[in-house]
Amino acid sequence: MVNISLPARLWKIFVFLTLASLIAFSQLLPLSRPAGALPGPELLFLMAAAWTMRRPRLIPMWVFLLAFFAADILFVRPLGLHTALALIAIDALRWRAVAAPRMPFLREWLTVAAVVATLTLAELVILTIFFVPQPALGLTLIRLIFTVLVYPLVVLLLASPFGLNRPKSNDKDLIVGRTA
Amino acid sequence: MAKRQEQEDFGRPIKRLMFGFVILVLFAVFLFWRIDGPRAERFRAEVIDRVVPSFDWALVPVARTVDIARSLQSYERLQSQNRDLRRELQQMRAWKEAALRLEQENAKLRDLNNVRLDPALTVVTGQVLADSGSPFRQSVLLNVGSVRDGIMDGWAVTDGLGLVGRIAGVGDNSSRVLLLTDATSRIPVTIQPSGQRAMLTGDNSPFPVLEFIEAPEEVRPGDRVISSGDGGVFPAGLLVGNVVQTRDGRLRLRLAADYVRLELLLVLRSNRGEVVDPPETLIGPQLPPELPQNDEVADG
Repeated sequence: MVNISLPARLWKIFVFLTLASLIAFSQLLPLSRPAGALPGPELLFLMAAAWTMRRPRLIPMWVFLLAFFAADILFVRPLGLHTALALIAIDALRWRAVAAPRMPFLREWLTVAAVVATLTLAELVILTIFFVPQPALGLTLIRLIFTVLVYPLVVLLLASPFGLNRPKSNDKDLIVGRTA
Repeated sequence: MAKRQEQEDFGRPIKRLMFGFVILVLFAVFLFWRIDGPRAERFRAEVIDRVVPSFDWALVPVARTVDIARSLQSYERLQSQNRDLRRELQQMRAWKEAALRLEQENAKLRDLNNVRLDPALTVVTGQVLADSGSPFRQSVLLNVGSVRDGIMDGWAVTDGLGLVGRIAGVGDNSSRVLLLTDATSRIPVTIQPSGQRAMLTGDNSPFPVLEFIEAPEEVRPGDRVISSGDGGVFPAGLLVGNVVQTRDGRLRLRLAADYVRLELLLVLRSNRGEVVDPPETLIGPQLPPELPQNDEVADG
């Protein structure tokens, strides 16, 4: 049985957290995006989703919890809600990735798209129930579409430099990814 | 291997339980945020105050570098831009002459009248540290806070040309400016020549909406809009922008502040104006002293 060593795992966690802070940093840059500009994709969630789909058991939940909650605080969002929903979504993705480790890319993409759509809808419904002022529905939908469309790009960027490429059938790494 | 499998199966329910617990706690945090918004926002301001200013050595230079790269891209249009700027400059010179003349005249009249300007209205200049980071929130973070500069919630922020927003959330070394374009921003304003009162409502578009105008037919596109000072939060008379009319007939506002380039902002220190309390003691005719209200006097 091949097991990934603890330092290697910590290293992966460190890489993930570094990328997450880079994303946060780039979004906090005072580049004066004018109001009404098209909203970009939710990069942090996409990155977490890609990681989970490719290496479902590599990064523990508390790392995601840390990253998402920090984003909630920094980006002036309702505290906790997005984190909770994103963690549930990541968990759902993890179950699917564990159940079918060699799914074709199209299916992976559709799975992520469905989960992101459900996440957005759930957030919309909960915010409406609690009478939280919300952005226009159109903008939220545009953001959702962007997020779904950008997923292959995120996977492509993460794949080779960070070892997230598709596990080959007799790859040791696959076993590591599944059981570690 | 079998043993490990066992361990994993044994560990799973506890992990699931922990996961469910974390989710519940997160929802509880959300509820807390919804119920006790001010306290939650203070916590947020505290955290941001700890984290973001320690990155200002990186945030500001990187942003400026990107700005420079962007302006390099506009070199192709330099020729036409130059021509336009020269024309504009000429017009501005004419205006400057007029302004100087008026300033002198104004100074003379002030001198004659013994006008004393309000000394309470001083400014603190802050540098923009960070954006809100979310496309649906229009706010920026300044590097001035409550400890050194005494920034307080509700103070007006301008960029020298026009109103930008107000302080919403103060930390020790940073403060958040809620821009007029944010969907939660509401400012009472006056539309200049007609004197109509209106509410300037942000809706996440570059042109905020003017709402609750009593007689919209008296408002023309191009009218100047200034802050009215109603409600006592804002100093009155700050330029906000000009009225524009959209195709569907709604009145919106073109902001005077340069929202594309928010780098240095002026925070106006404003203290509450004189409060007349109770008002009836000052206005109206002198009333006779109140009669004793008990029944004995009424009977007798």
